[in-house]
Amino acid sequence: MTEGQESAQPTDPAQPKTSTSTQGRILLVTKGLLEKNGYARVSTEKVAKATVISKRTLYQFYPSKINLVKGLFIESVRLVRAGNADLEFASPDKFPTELGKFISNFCNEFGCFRESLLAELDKEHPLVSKRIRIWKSKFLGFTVKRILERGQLIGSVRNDIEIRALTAVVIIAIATIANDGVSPRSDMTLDPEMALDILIHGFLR
Amino acid sequence: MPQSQIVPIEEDIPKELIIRVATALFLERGYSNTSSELIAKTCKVSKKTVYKIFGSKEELLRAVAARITERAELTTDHIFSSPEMPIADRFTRMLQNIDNDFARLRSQWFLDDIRLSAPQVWHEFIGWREYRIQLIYGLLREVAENKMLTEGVGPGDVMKTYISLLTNGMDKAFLKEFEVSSEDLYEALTQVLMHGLLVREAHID
Repeated sequence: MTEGQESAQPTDPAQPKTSTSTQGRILLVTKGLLEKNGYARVSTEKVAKATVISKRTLYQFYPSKINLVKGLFIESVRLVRAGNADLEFASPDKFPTELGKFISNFCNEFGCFRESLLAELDKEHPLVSKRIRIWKSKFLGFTVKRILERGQLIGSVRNDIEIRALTAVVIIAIATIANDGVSPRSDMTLDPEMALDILIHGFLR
Repeated sequence: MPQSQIVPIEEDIPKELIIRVATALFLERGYSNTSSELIAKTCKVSKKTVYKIFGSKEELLRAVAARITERAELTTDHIFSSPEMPIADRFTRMLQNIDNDFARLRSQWFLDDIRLSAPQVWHEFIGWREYRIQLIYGLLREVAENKMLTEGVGPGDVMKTYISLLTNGMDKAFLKEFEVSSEDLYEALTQVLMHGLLVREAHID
């Protein structure tokens, strides 16, 4: 599933950042803060403080708040791909587990870029939010379809439903599991693993 | 499923024609984005006629919503009161009987629109939907009592997953982006949630 990933690749070259390097730690902290508070309520001060580094050190890597977001985006894309690297979708035995891994991996690594965050970015940095949205929808649209087609080929995925509709269902499920979308009611927080299980195996015996 | 038509045709009862046209226009363009003028013009009647019959645009929306919810009740009520029918069949029929107009009426973008522009009608519809959710939940509990749910999955989990996915999927922008119709998506969603993404034999415990 490499071709489609290539076409959707962001232009900035990204070096892998281990979670123990300063840069890696900064991004991890940024991710956590953005997930919890959204964009407006995160500041470079807070990121520096939570990473336990000086603002000066932070600015050496990321001179502004939006640079943190861009850096996190590039790193998240890298992590999504790295997490998918050993998924083959080649054997019916492994298919359900691999599909689950693909979805969880995407939600974990890219879940921070949910629509509410992008909507916030729309006001101040529309080009950044646009780029993230395009990547997200292209990557999901292409990759999920490829995975499902693969699954049909090896006899794992049902082929009685049109592939576009099936792809859409999986993408909605991913958005819902990553908590990227509307929650109809406050008491309806979804257990991600349960939702994933229902998606793959159905709820009827 | 009766498909509403926007094309005006000769009709004996202008009231029915107006409801039909308003249904199509509201669900396609949104409530606040559809003027009484446009409805009257499409029906080839005067605005006065529309107001004489319905009093206001909000009243017309109420009539449209009532028509759709009545139809939903008409096609599904017997399912709730047929204990002799196998429970899985009842559930399947319940989900399959929900038509496209209903799916669009309960979509998030439509509800967001009327919540602001016709709050009273919104309130009534939300109340009705809540009641229906309880009915479906009751049916699901029966499915669970009959030990027909996948092991480890509770009726609440199914309900949450179903409603969250439906709410997120019936989004105009989403449907357009993934080039799938709301009917196809609804059908696929129901099928996948009931029986899973995989072909029957591919399920492993």
